[in-house]
Amino acid sequence: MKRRDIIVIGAVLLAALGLALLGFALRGGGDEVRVYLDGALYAVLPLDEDTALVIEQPGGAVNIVEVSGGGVRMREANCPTQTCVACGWRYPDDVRALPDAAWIVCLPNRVSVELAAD
Amino acid sequence: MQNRTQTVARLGVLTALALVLGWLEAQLPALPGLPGVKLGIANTVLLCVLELHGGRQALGVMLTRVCLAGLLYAGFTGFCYSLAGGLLSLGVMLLMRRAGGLSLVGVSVAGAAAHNLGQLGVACVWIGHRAALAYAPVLLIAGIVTGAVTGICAQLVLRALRKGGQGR
Repeated sequence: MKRRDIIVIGAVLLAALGLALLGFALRGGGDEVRVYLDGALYAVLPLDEDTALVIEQPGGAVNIVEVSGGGVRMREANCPTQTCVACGWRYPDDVRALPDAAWIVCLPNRVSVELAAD
Repeated sequence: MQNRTQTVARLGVLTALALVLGWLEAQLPALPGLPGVKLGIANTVLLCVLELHGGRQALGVMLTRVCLAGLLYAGFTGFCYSLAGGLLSLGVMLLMRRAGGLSLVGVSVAGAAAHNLGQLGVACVWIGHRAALAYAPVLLIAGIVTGAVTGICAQLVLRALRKGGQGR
């Protein structure tokens, strides 16, 4: 390790910190769930209404987004990784604590769910 | 001075090693709560190629590995992520080496951070930039940790090689 190594590590840390602060500043307003397909807005669900949205895509990808009790989760996904399902329930309080908790992403099926919290 | 055949043979073996290491890592379960974060141990091989041979050879090994991994186990999606991450990472590592004054650990940390940002760039196209941006700090910090570990590994390997009279 040399002095410049520390500078590189410091610069990456600083970039991470800056982006994290930006994340806090850009937290969405209102209590709603936005569902995106391929990065484009697909549906908006109110957070105070219990629903289950089934998303079936032409390639055979199926995702079920569930809103219940003021929270949202990916109830089911037929993707191989199941990372999105493992995220579990997300509530507005989670987002206030950590901005990246606003997102549940199913990368293989290209579905992302945003919990926009005040 | 090594002859050409020797160099080609050695780069072939190193490419195979990187391929196997990448496959082994893909078999490990993802870290809970940290999707997309992995050690990137195959980068140890690339760092050694960079040190022992040079940038052009490292580019060749990286491209061959990414193409073969895509065909063998990563699939098209994995190929896109690896290619974007690999190109950006190697580019940054070459620049850092040229800038000088860095040990392999610093080069590796910069490379790992760039790799993760490259993959995030691909994710931007598929899930939108706002989701990707929210996850960027996590991936950058992960890059510091994984980059330092792989950089230290590469340093240890190179030290052992030089002791054995293998590294130039």
